[in-house]
Amino acid sequence: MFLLTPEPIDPTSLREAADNPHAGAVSIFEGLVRNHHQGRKVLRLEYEAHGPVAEKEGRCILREAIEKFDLDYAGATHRTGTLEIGECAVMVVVSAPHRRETFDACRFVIDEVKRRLPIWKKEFYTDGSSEWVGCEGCRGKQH
Amino acid sequence: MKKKPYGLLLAGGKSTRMGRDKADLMIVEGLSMRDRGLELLGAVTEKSYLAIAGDDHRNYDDPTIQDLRENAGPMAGLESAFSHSPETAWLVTACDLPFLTLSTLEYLVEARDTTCDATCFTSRFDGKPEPLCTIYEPSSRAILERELSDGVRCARRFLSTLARKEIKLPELSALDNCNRPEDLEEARLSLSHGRSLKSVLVEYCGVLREDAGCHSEEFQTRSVTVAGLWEELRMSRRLSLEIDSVKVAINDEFRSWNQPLAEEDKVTLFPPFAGG
Repeated sequence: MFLLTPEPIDPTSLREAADNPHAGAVSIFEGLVRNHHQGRKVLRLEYEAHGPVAEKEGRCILREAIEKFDLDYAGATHRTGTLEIGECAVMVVVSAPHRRETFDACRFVIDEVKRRLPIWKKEFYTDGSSEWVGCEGCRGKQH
Repeated sequence: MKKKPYGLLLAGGKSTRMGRDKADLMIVEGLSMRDRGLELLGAVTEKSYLAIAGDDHRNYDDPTIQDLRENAGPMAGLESAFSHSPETAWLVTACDLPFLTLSTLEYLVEARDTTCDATCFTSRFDGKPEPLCTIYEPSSRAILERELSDGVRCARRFLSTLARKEIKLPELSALDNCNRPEDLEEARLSLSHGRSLKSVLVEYCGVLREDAGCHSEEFQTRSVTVAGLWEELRMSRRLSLEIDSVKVAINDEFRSWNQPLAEEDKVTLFPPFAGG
């Protein structure tokens, strides 16, 4: 149900995994690579993940979501490697008998994915520079 | 026989990261960092003093020497010590050196060369002289005064200008300092349990991998906790993040910085997460 992949994400097959006669609602979140970040023009991204810990923690988040929102299904896939503008970086699919639970669960899963998974993003800008996102403010003095 | 030096323990100021005066922190039950520092110095010197700031009006049980000038750090302490006793050498240490041992101090005193301006250790991290566990001979006083009047406030820079005998640390981590609660816990555990040599596998992720220049490496450590290991790696691999922004996993499980290390542990260092 949780997957890290260096291959492009295929939304159709991920969506099909949520099919279930018990489910009356499916919600999907797709996170895409956009061409700007904090006023800088982004050319592409590179995602790096710590596989063993990210997969374990990812499964844990999905189990929590199923229990918390009484879901029929929860799945999430996160890309690794180089991504161009417009590509799908992360996809969350959840299903439940009613829509309210699926909207809430979808948000819960993506928020926890961002907060808890050991995944890092390096942005490459049109001016030739690059930066690890989230590390700008916490650099020590020696650099 | 060489005349014993006098000892000067720099009490230091308030520590923002510890949330209080480091000298008051307890290193082991009933013994503050200040008491321990004075006890160690007392064992190898003729007489030892606590160096305190000019505006420190607390009552101390031990003899004190007050800084004659403000905001000059360790150099002000040494200046005041020479003004108090110009004819003796001064062994200067700081109270935030929880790993300092009597044998390291004895080694320094034994190696002392009175024909130099100073006898000191070489930093294990960057190979530069360590100013805060050093014997300053009376001949260094004139240079100290000159550097201070030139506006120099960095004790390390001052020490670099002296004719000195530099020796290697007999115990590698003896001068590692203590800026955070995790460092103090490391010191407490190492004093109570001892420090044995362990081999661990360190994995670096994201920006830390770029800093270290490798995905992973075998690393020999005597640190008791993973916080102690972080401090070693941060200095020797010039890692660019502060401990607050880093998370750690041991054998693929998230752990706290106070987690003790075991032989062959895999330690993974995580920069701030940025998925999604």
